[in-house]
Parts: sequence; C-alpha cells; structure tokens
Amino acid sequence: MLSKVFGIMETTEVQLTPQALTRLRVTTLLSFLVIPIYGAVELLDVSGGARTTLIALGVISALAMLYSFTTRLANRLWTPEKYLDENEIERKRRSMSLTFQVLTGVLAVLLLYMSFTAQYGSNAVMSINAIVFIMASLFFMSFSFQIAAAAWMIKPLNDSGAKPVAADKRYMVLVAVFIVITGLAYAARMFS
Amino acid sequence: MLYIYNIMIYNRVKLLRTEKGLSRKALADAVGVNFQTIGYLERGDYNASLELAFKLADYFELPLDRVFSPRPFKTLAEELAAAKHAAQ
Repeated sequence: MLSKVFGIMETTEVQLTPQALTRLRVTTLLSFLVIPIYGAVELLDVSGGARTTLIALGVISALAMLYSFTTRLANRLWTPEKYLDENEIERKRRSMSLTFQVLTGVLAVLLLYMSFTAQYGSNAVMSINAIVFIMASLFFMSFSFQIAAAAWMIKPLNDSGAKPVAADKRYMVLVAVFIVITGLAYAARMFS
Repeated sequence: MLYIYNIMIYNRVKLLRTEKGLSRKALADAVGVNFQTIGYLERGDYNASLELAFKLADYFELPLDRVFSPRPFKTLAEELAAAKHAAQ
C-alpha cells in the first residue's frame, strides 16, 4: 500500500527541467519569509499600509510555501529510505546534514545572544513571544532549507530525448486530499 | 565519468543503453533505480554503488570492467581498428 503511494510521488522528467527547478528554487526562497513576516506583523505592531503590504507578501510567501512543499522533489526528501533509490537517498542525507549544520549554527548564535543579554541585563533581552516566533521560523525554515539544498544539488535532466511525462492526476489528487485533510484539522482546532 | 574518492571512474552506460535502444526509464526499471540516477550516472554527476554497478554489468551481460573503468574507454573506431589489427 505505502509503496504504491510513494510510487505515485516518484519524480518524473517534468520536475527536472531547468524551468521546473528554477520555479522550485524561487518558491522555496520565498517560503522562508512566511513566519518572519507573520512575526514582524505581530511583534512589531505594524499598522496601516505597511501592515497591508506585509500581509500581501505573507500570502504570496505562504502560497509559494504550499507549492514548494507539495512538489514531488520535496516529497522525496521526506519519503522513507526503503522507497528511494541510492541517488535519492544520498541527496536526502546530504540536504538533511547541511540543514542540521546550519540550524545548529543559528541556534548556537541565538543561545549566545540570549545568554549574553541575560547576563548583562541589556535592554535587548528577547521577549517570550519573540523567542517563540524565532523557534517557529527555524522549524519551518528547516523544511525550506532542506528543499532549497536539494533543489540546488539537482542539475536539470532534460537531454534524454524521452518524451516528458504528463502531469500525473493521481499525484494531484493525493496532494489535494492532504491539503483538505490538513485544512479541516486546522479549522476544527480553530473553531473548537 | 564518475569520481569515487578522487578516482575518476568512466562508464559506458550511455553507449550500451543506446545500442539496446532503451530509454533511461526502461533501463532504470530493469535495474531498480529512478531514471534520474541513470541520467546522472551517464553524465558523470553521480557515483554508482557497487551493487548498482554489478546490476548494470549483469543487465548488459558484460564483465564489470567492460562497463566501468578507472581509465577512459577507447572509442568504437579505436576498438575496431585494434580488433582488425589483431586479426591480421
């Protein structure tokens, strides 16, 4: 059963064209901004035109994140290794280890900053809300960074002469079902 | 060509696949990998595991050193000339 589901998610030539890879890279970069924008709007108490602009940017960024997170290449990064081939496993491990290194680096800097400001009672001590937003940003960025690392590792593969495979409707249905279920779960939580 | 621990490994996968009239997808299915792995292997962007190397050699019914080599393979013209020379 699971092998069939993960089989549907396999990458095809359509995702490896230069255009598709550029689209993935751009949307992944945009997806980094979702939580920082939300954090800026909430924490900095932005109002007026700036708030509208930031919210519009946030929506664009959220849509980019939705696209980026549901591409087949991204899904292959979260697929269990037994359903991947050796090249995909290597790419997955390399992107995960790079993400781990970057995140631990950022966390180390953050920890140093927090301990330094706490030690000397500086005015720059972060509020709990700020820390929560930074942690949420890092959580989402860990996914985006992994996709970005993989997207830059892959080189376009469109010289095989084989006809590109048409978009797989089963994959679209699978993604749509996932989005609907997640949306319903979130809505149920919001209104309960 | 492939790089394994700084050793350049050449392969004839593209030539052998083309000779058989196979697409990358068909060869990939036959040896149980994704088509992009075959693509990157042919282009020299990926190091094949020993298991995949043996699978490919088995599939083409050739010894491993006829498919992968640490030295550049001779061209078809050079091989034919050498065979003709040996026959004389």
